[in-house]
Amino acid sequence: MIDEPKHRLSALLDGELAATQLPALLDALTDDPELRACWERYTLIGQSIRGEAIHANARQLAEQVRTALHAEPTLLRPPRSLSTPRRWRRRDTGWALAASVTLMAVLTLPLLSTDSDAPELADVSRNTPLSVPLVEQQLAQQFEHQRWHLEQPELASKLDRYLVTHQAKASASGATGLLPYAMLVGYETGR
Amino acid sequence: MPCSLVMRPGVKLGAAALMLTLGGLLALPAWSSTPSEPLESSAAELSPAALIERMTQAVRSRNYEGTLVYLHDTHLETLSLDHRIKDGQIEERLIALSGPIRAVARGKDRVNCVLSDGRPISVEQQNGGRFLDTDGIDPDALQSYYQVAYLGRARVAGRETDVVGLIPKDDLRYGYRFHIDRETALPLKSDLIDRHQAPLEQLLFTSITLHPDATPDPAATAVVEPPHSVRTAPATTPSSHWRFEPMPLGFKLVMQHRLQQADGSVVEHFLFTDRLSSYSIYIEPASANGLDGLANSGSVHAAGRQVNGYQIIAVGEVPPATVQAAIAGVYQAVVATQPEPEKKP
Repeated sequence: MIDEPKHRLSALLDGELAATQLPALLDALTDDPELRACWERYTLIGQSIRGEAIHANARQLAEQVRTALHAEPTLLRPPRSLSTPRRWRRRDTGWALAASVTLMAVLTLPLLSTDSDAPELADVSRNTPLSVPLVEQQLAQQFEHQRWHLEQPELASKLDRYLVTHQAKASASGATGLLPYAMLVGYETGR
Repeated sequence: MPCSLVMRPGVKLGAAALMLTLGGLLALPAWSSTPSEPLESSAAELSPAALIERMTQAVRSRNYEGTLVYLHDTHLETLSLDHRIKDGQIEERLIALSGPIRAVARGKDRVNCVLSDGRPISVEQQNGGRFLDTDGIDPDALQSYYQVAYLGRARVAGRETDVVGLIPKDDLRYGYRFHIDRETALPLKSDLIDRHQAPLEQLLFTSITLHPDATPDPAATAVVEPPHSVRTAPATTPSSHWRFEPMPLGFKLVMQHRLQQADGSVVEHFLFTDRLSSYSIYIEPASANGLDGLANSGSVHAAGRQVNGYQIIAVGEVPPATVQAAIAGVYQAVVATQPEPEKKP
């Protein structure tokens, strides 16, 4: 008998999961620590098969983030909103859930966005359905910025924005159209 | 009609990764700088311009999704690309299948990214450009700085392709080598090459699925109108007090505008192209997050310096010498001031 959640988790890692199945799977990840552990194992297996370096600090990252969040002074935590859907209340899913939600927001924004007058280079984190400033700080600290080989994350992020803007405005950078985006998404030198 | 090497849904991670890796390795001679089969006399009659035009039409009109392998340096990454035409608009998503979550999505008028530092980027997009965009490539207009040539045939992902090269004639720009599927005209493999045709980066499909027209609705299957391309944009002159002389050979200013940043500051943006390659120069008030010197991310290079309290940054998929030359030529024009009228006693 097929273990359906794990089967879908595998499909997600393979890029085969239907978009309609993703919300339910994220809900399951929120509620099921065993499934989150399974996600980490699958990721580890994939890294091992691909011969990538495996960072010890990357293991059980969700638990590390949860521990760090619990260590934060209470006043620094964003207030909970009663109107927030239940599945977003728990923070202990850590970066994996936060990044997944951000990914969902990014992937759905083109379909929803009508604010053509929005300022250029605006940070859409203000518009994402989940406000996760502390988690984002943790993310920024966890991942050394690899793409520009710079020790200044702010400068590296600025160069990313400038590159995306260049590509968007150039529009028909065409032959170039795919490779720079592939670089943005695929370029990870540290693994 | 699905192409070869399409993975079954739900295939397990280990097998999938192995298949992708093997697919990438077996699909073609990786890092090979020449097509796998010699040029034949009949093939020599194929027009590179016609092949590029056919490729452009295919990218503009087809619905497809697939898995890509991205080769850079000694690294291999797998990406998922989904390209749909819906209600006459192109929607695309490019997602990394390994490592931290990274993705780019393009809709009608915006590009949204989430990268491994966890900070989303959203940029307004003009003219409907797309990931596999080849609009605006005019082989006849490239002759000064590129050699446009039919390079023969090769097999990619088990399919026959024609290989067309846009080979740079100097070290100030990169070129491209497209492996164009004979049946669908989609570019199954794209190589970024230098003037010796050595590949710097490669992107190839290990699986691709073409979706048949799902609905007879003409709006859903219509060929999208070609966007205005900066490749064909006329050269312009800077309207601000910034000047760019000399420019790297062959590059001309084609677009300029001002960007409002999230913190309220303004950045001046100037876009230059040689009708194939392009770079941008950004000018903003100098700050602590300045760039002094060179930086790179793969084949994308950036160079920066400060001029009179302003930060100048050039970014583009061009060689380091080009962005360095670009910022070296930036200066402020002397603004002619009106002589003050003489004061009456």
